[in-house]
Amino acid sequence: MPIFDFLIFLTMDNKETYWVVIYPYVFIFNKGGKTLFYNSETGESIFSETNREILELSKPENMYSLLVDENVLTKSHVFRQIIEKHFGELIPFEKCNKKPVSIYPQCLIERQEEEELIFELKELTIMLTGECSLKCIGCDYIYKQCLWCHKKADVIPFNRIKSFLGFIPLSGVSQINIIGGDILTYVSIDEFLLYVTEFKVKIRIFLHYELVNKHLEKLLKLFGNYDFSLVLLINSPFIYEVLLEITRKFEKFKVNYKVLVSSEKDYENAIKLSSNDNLDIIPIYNGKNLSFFVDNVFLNKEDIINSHVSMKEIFAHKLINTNTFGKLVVYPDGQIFANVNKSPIGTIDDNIYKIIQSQLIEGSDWRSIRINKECLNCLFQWLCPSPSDYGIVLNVKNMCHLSP
Amino acid sequence: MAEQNVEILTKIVLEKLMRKQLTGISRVTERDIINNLRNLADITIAVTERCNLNCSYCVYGGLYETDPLRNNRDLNEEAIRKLFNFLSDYWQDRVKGSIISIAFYGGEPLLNMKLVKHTVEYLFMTFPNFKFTFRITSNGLLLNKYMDFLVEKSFKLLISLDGNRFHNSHRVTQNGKESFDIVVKNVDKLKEVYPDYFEKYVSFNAVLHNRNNAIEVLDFIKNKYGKKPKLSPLATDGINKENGTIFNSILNKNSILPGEYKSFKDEEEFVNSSIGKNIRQLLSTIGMNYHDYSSLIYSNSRNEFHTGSCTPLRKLFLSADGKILPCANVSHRYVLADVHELNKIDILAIADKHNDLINRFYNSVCQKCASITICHTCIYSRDWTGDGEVGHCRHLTNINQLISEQNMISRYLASYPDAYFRLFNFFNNG
Repeated sequence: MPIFDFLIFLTMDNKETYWVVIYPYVFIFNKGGKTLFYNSETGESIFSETNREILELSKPENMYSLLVDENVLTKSHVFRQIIEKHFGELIPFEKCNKKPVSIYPQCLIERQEEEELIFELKELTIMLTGECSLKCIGCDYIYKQCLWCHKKADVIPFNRIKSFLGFIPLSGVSQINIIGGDILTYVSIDEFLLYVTEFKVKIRIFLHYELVNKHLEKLLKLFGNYDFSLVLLINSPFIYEVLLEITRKFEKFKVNYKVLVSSEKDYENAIKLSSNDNLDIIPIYNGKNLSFFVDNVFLNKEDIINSHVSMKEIFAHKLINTNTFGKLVVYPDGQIFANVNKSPIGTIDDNIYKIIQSQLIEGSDWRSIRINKECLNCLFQWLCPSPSDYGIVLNVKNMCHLSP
Repeated sequence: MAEQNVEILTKIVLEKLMRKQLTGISRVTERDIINNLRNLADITIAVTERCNLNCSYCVYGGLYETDPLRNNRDLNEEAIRKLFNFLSDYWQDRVKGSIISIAFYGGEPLLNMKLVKHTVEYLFMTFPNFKFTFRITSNGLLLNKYMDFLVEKSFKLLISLDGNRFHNSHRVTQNGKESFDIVVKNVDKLKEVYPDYFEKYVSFNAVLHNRNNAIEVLDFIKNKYGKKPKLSPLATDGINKENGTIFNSILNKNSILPGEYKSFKDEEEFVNSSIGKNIRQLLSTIGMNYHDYSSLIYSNSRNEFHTGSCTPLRKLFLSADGKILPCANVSHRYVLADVHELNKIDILAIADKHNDLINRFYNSVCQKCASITICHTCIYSRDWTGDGEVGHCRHLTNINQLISEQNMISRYLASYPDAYFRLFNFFNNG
């Protein structure tokens, strides 16, 4: 007798029996005797002690459908919640003697042909020159936490970078970030922009705000000639009036502002600019402000369960690093990085297909996910964002207050 | 809404489809087609229309309505040179090491082996920076003569064989003699002389008809060659009405039914079967199936009507009479260009024609279809009737049919829950 028929046979007594069927967009996470039912359509959660029925229901081969008798339903408040909160359905066995099925949520990435892998590359950051006259505090560590300019000895000749970029129309690249050093000291910036704007991808130029006045004329000319957006990089503390003046100068153009904050005081100063829609406030670790991070950046249980994480996001957290995936950084010496905190993964003279293929298959950067031992035992393992550069810089595996 | 029972998965699919509003009709631009040409990696070349077999069920035989001009034409070296001269302009910026697949097709392609060899040498010489992979589909009659070359160039070889002598008896020579003995002798020799090549590069295709069935064919080829053949049903479109009775006598009406789940002996066949495709579509609608990893984070908010058609020249088929078509499976009425007049090719006109066709189908047929947002029908395929004009679509679905189809998939999964995991095994570990 097949096992499934046998189970039906076993339940054929006088008690009412029901099918409990969970909807496919509900995730069941079981860790250390606790269970979290997470509805990725609504963001709602149900917590419970793990029991035998839940473990059975969680088995993929049961297709999210389980026959239970009314005793179980009476005793277990979790099934009542499942029905009340529309995480699933209860179907009397007498109305449905064939097992109804749902689907255990799992992500299928359809096999890709080798030549299609290059379409996974979406964003390229190119540091054309590392030269810069500024002496910013944090120049040697900020770029390790977020996309930011920094000093480096090299400058890449235009012809060398041009021959590398020939693959762009044949790839998935939809955005090119251009950073320095002081990017506007790059002698071939006009030629470069003329070349890359032909690709019809989004171009962003990253420039430190203290360099704006020095290059104002040049910037306005570039805005007149090419289609790009300017990202102004602002360290705290900054002079509010100077920034307002810059904002006014560029109000006709596409400009985004990124402001670094390393303390609550910085943050309060930065939000004065928040009337500006194009503003990103980025926390930065300076080696002395761990408590600022612990208090303001580290997540607690409420942060996690109050944020609505979609099914697609959960799949992404399980499969790829959402911070680094599809992105490469090219340094002026020709080295290519998937993460600037790690070793280079090739150079612009290497075969770009092979670089992408290696990141997809064994990439410790693009495929870096929460499988460290702290996160492995956590109910919220796949609801949490992917590991970030902050974790690397702070040398912590999980940036949260949860200790499983 | 229908009165029929609605399964849970069906209910979820319908909810998702109701929320999925079309934002417009997808349009192909001249630039899209130029990008397709720059990226072109799938080229099929019919080197000849000639064949040394006269199979009863051949789609180019009397049972089907075929191109009246199709006869015994061969493609020539000039056509090959012209095609790749044209493509070389688009391939200038192509990355070193790009992989391009070339498939040789016929008729029986080994009958024009001179051109196959010429093409291979020509491509190696002209494009030393690219990596070409070659495929050929053959009936195996001339394999003894040309196997050395196919092995030397690592051709992926697909041999057509319908099973044992009786199973294969629709495959007869031009004189009406059975081909089984010669083909098997040649294949045996290939296996004996080049065992490693045979293991790695050779596969089989069997057509299912009234003289065989899936299980027996699978057993025969598995036992004899250790391979799992691809099973193809007879083409049921484009039947010549005068020969409908003969066609019906040959048709195996039970060729591959979803119920024959166990006949899918490997994941690949299951994944590409109609039930496999239906489950993949269901997963896609629910949000569990993605083309690539980046789709998980780089979302496309547009949801345009596009059908299942490739945009023109994403693939390219060069017919033996020198015509360029979207792929080997489409009718001659959709010729995109003549290989000898590629200097006159009008890419904008190809884009316009494609857009016009999609628009016309959208306005007259697809708007009425309950499956419009999940359509995978190619507008160039024979699933459309109406001789290129707007006609009827075999897949036109009303809400009741959609519910029935989705219910069928649910019930299939209830009967064969393993199917779900085979799909994942194939894509994630395959």
